[in-house]
Amino acid sequence: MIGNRKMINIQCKNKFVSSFFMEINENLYIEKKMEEGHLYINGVRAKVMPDGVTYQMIEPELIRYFDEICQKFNNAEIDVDEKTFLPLFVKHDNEYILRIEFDANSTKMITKIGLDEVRHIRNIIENVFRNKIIPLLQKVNLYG
Amino acid sequence: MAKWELNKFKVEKSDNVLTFETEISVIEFRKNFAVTITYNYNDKKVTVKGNVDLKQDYTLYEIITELERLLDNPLIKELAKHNRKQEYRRGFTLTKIENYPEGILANLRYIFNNKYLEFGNILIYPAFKDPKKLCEVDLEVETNTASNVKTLYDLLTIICTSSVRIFIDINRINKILNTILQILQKGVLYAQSTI
Repeated sequence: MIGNRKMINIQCKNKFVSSFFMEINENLYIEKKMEEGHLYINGVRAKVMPDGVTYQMIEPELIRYFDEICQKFNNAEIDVDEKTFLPLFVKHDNEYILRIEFDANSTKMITKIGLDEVRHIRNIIENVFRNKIIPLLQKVNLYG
Repeated sequence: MAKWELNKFKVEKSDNVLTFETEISVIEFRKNFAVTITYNYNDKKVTVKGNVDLKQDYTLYEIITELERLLDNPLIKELAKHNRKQEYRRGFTLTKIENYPEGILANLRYIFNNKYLEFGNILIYPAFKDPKKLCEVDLEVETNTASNVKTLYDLLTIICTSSVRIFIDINRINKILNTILQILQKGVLYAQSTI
């Protein structure tokens, strides 16, 4: 979280998702821990929770959607705005390629890639969240 | 033309007055040439100040026309959408000007009232040849218009969809600078011939 801005954090390794953390509301967050292929809800392995079978069923599909975001990157860390699903920063192979900084009076975007590429990355991330991840989470009542 | 550097390029319209300020250093003569052109829309009066021998002829009015076109820009219009107050100021300025032997890089800063959008650093002299390049190279974009991430991304889209217009504007800047440089060159030749 930067200030009051909540974020979704995604770590990619060799073009696949390594981990993600997504705060859905004050009482609910989901995550995939590094190098593990399982979904955790509020820190608890999803399959051992009530409705665990349902959560376990969406696990591979959910992780595959995060993989889609990671397909463009080797090793990367991505922060996404949780309200708009737009990327706030992308660190690729240990170098920031996109960084958005907010201060009291201005907003600054610093890129090491062209704006066309920034817009392309934005489209991928926003589309995967809006059309795939969020509807899937809604299906199992993990998103309001 | 002797080796020169650009120090300032600023155009602003407020209170029905268009003001243009530019400053060029001619390295060989270690001399700064500055000019301020003011055009009052109420009485149609043009004032020229500075040490550039800019006469009140068609050249001057051509410069004013180009400056007006610089201020009639889709990015300024976009800033206006984010400012509900009646217009009291619009402007276009080159900031963070960097002079290199191969050319001049600068940030483009667009202003509407108290809102601004600035991005760079872009080759402004000589003008880059391919408008598509604008969105293919790394850029820094700064604005006080985007209160949320979506607005910022919308502005990026407008920058890229306006890239041809931005390219045309950079050609306008080149045209204005070349006009002033020609006048400076004539002045230098005249000075040399009278020595």
